[in-house]
Amino acid sequence: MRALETVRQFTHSPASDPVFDAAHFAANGNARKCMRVIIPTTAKPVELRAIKRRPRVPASYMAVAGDFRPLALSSDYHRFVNGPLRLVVAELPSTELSLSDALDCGRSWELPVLIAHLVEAAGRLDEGEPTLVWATGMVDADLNPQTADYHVPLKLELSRPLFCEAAANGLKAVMVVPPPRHPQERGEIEAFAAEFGAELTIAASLADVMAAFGIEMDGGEPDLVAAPPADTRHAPDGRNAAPDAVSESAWRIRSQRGRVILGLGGGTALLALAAGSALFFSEHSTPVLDTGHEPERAVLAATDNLAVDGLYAENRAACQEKIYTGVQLTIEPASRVAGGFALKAGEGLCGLRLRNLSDQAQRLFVDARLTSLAIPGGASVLSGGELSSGETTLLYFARTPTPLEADARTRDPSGRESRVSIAIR
Amino acid sequence: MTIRLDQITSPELLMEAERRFVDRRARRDLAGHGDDRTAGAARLDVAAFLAGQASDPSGAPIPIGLLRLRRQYLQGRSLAFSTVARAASTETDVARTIGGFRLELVEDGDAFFVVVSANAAGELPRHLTLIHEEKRLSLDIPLGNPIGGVLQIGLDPKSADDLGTIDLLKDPKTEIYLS
Repeated sequence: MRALETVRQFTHSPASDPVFDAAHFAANGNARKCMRVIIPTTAKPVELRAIKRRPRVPASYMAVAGDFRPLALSSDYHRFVNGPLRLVVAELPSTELSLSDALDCGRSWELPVLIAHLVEAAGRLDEGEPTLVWATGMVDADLNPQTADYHVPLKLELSRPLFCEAAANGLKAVMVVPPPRHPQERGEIEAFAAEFGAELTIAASLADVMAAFGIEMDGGEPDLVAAPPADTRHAPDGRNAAPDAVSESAWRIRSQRGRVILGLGGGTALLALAAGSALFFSEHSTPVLDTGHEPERAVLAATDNLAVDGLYAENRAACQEKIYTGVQLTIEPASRVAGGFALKAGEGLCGLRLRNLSDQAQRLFVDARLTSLAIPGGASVLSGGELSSGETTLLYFARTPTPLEADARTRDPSGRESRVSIAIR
Repeated sequence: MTIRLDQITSPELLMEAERRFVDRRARRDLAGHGDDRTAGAARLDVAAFLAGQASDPSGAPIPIGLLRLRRQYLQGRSLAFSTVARAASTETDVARTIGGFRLELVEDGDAFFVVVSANAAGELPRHLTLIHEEKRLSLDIPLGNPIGGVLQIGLDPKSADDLGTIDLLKDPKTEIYLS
């Protein structure tokens, strides 16, 4: 029985490039009329050859084109597909990411791979003008690009032959990078983009990334919008908009997504209060309005199954208002301490956000010392609510928490449990 | 027990006699291994073969005695093994239960995938060994690192080596060892 599959070829080039070869890229560029996504590394640029949907196998993986042996980063890629990516690309089965060469380590592949998946899901790979897409950077659990040192100038220099050949072959070039750490680095990136007439997007959020490709959310699947915005794009001549400017379209996408999630949260809160029962929100993602304050998953040890963040407002009155009106609370990661997490007690601590970091569903149990503080609601945390991989649940405090030591336990489908302490000090 | 020629009265006895003959020859080969340095250089490194670190460089069928020695070696060291397929399989897909593990061969268009699921204790093996006595074959396949709690490796049916592995996995007579 042959499986139903969707193959989205980014290129039709031969199996692999043992060493980066500009002439080879040029030849491919001439032969192809579709999007080419480049994953730059500090050794050489790697080309994303294809995304192949493989619904019959359980795990997503990366492999060098022409080979099916999973690369070392496959586990990270599987987690990426299973967790955050499925929040925006619904019904995404296991996938094979076919690369021109191996990726050994790091997380800067996440942004270009995210772009490739968004474009693939929007059905844009074989349409539009031939485009060279160059992106680097990691993304957080909500798919927002994260600022870090990605050695962008070095990667750009290594990719220079690619841009030259793309220009020679009449390919449009698009660059997407997270906000640079230093003005000098930003200047170098802008100068490079201007040199090759590349459209540069400094993306601080998922909405910025999607807007750069004219994609917006439509019922969970990325979809094409008519007019791509321009605010976050930098003109090829180097003139650019304000660094943190967000396009109108990007704001529209963010706002819509934020409204849906926050509206649901607020409405559920009021309903639960009316019913007089424990409020335990479940959401698939942090509202996109919140950017730049997310904990990076890389900070946590690989063995961790749970991330704990504090939800904050200015004071208790602001907590109450924001909880019941669905306005976004400030999210700050709890401090890691031996055996768990710690948060600072205070009237501005409105609640907790717990996220399942495991790559499988887990039941979550939070002990009574913590749940007794929660706004009463219908779903009991004590009996173990199930969180799918990457899913987040919110626990809002009914009153200002006093210092306490509590435990949270997670149980995976095989029955294995792990425990972390949550201290409010 | 010795089978004399005049005692071979059925195809089953003939097969058994052949097997014992090959076995006896293999034992002789094994016993003489290393005596002759020139001849020994072309021979299989038995210790490495038993540990799954070497295969017969000539590609010739492996002596049945050596295969059986390997079987004994593996049975003592494997996390689980299955000497014959008991689970049902479809025309293309194979699923076998090996101890607490489940091994599946899944066809997906241009590739086949070997998927090994963890046992109840959450353990996963690191190596897959296939032995087919009739074909005098023994194959060792590293299973790599787990992805999402399972082991998954792809096989390319266009590659002769991978096709051999696929054929072995489809054959219910193939013994499977997970270690």
